Amino acid sequence: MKSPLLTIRGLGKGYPAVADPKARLAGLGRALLGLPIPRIPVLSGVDFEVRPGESLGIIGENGAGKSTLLKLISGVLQPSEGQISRSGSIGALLELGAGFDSDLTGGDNIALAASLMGLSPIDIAERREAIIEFADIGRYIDEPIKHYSSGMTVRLGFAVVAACRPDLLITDEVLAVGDESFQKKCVRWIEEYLESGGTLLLVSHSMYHVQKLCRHALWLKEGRVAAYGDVFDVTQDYLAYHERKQADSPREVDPEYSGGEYRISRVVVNDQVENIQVLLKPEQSLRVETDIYSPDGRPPVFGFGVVRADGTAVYGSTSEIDGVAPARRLDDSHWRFELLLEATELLPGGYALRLHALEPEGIRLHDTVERGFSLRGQSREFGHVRLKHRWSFDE
Amino acid sequence: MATQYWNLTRRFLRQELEGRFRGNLAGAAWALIGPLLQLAVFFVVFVHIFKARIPGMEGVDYLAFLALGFWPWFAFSEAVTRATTVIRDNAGLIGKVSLPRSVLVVARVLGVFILHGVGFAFVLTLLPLVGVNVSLSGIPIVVLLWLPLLILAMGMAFLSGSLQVFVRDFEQVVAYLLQIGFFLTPILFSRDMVPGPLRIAVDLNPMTGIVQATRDAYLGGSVNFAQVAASVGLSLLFLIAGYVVFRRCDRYFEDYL
Repeated sequence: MKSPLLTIRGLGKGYPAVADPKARLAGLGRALLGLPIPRIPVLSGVDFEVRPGESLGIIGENGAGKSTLLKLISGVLQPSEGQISRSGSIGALLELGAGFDSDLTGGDNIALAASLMGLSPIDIAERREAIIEFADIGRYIDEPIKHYSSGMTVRLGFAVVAACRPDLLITDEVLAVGDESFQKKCVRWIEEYLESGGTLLLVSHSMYHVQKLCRHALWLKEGRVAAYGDVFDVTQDYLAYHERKQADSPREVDPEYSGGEYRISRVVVNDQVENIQVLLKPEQSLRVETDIYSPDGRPPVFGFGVVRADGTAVYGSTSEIDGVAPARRLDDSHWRFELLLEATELLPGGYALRLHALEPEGIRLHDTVERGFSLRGQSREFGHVRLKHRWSFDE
Repeated sequence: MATQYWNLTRRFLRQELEGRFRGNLAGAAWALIGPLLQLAVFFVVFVHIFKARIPGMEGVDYLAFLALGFWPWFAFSEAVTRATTVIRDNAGLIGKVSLPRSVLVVARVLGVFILHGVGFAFVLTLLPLVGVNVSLSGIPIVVLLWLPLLILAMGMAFLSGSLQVFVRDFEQVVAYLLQIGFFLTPILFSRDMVPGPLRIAVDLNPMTGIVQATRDAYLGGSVNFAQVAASVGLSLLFLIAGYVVFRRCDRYFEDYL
């Protein structure tokens, strides 16, 4: 195994808690004496490694600390705690117009940005033509950058990074500014760069780009690592999290309930009693055990449904529709249902299982309990369920 | 690593020189016009209004006397003034790309020194043409004296550049300190004209040795090498102190910009 290009251990970053003039003076005193400055953390406890040839996508909500992490890695910011060790050259395209002087022409800015990336004047002169060609902004190359549109600025910025061909390429959301054809050009370039052994760190809100370009993903949530691993697993969890965030959270199970309603008193999904996300491997089924409290002791009806985490219904049924009785009577007022639900036709992603208690007539919903589950797997198909299909009309 | 640092310094130096007077009609000539105008004003005020006299110096000799004091001071004070805000001026760059921040200070100070160095060379050539008696053998010393001047300015630049990031008021303080420094340096007068206790303050100023020696060397006086050595020592001390402070503050710039 190749030694890592980038090793991050216990990395944290905070900004000074206060920054009024007095606090700034105190900060100066502490800096001169080498004392720590009180900080509000924006990033903490981040650990990961990037090996040569790897491609890691960094995802997360706005303000989760993604850009801060990239700035720490590229050396723009200094860590408040933890260590970063780098080997090899780093090329970072962090923000619109980074490393450019808006008064200089595009041509002069090529030299400026390239020397900031560590290129010698000879290297710069050699690659100048290639950069101008890649940027493809025509006569604007001789105009000051301040006359550029944001798309043109990004074109020039990416062209410089591409020409430098760093060992580790770090890029933030900036690509999204380019037009369709330039984005495609960049994606093609990155794919070719990865194939020839390049290493990529990409921050993006486009799961399409992340899944297309990265093999691994890191999900940052409120400055901490929420998930790190295979790109499909992490992005699916991330999307499911977003869908759940938009849906309302239903009531919890109360095993002691003894009122006048039909209620679910216990739920076990794949041997899990607690309400935590159930992870399903491909081909794995859901084993659902549900106890329902019946106030008058008659056998209740049990309903279930599978919804996308945002509430879109996928499928549902009840014991009454299917014409089945409870599996067992536990005591005077509790009945148990057992359900084996195959999830093979669901596409990978985040879902919720809704369990309902109905009265024996099966007309009214008395109680609903929800359990989230996510389905592992790599798939680039669209939608929620896999419909059987063939690519020819012949039998 | 060192070549990369030097490449970057050259790049920023070029930007410094090109950017400074970009869009001005007279361009880099301003680097000469400004000091010349200031020199003319002081000359008129002191010679024709105050009737100031330096023993043994009349008319054009006093002009030389002033010019030889003014130019090193211009270079020093402008370098410090401009370096004070250099980190803040480049906040956008510092927040977006990784670079050794000291490059910005070094490039800015060098930029000022190049402009005033050219102006000074111009003045040095001009003075004999208007009838000042010049000691040719002193010229190399005059040129060499810009080395401790640069060291001193660099030290002060590192110091003020890093402090300014934390304490915004520092910019105002620097302006007044430089004004006091101007009068604690024998520019309008000679060191020997300063009475008792004030002379101690003037002597403690590392600029004093540099300015005095510049005059003595150029006008054929005897250079006080002990004083020059003291100035060089003090300048080095300032450079070390300034750089240490800069290194300590460097990692916190991003927090306070």
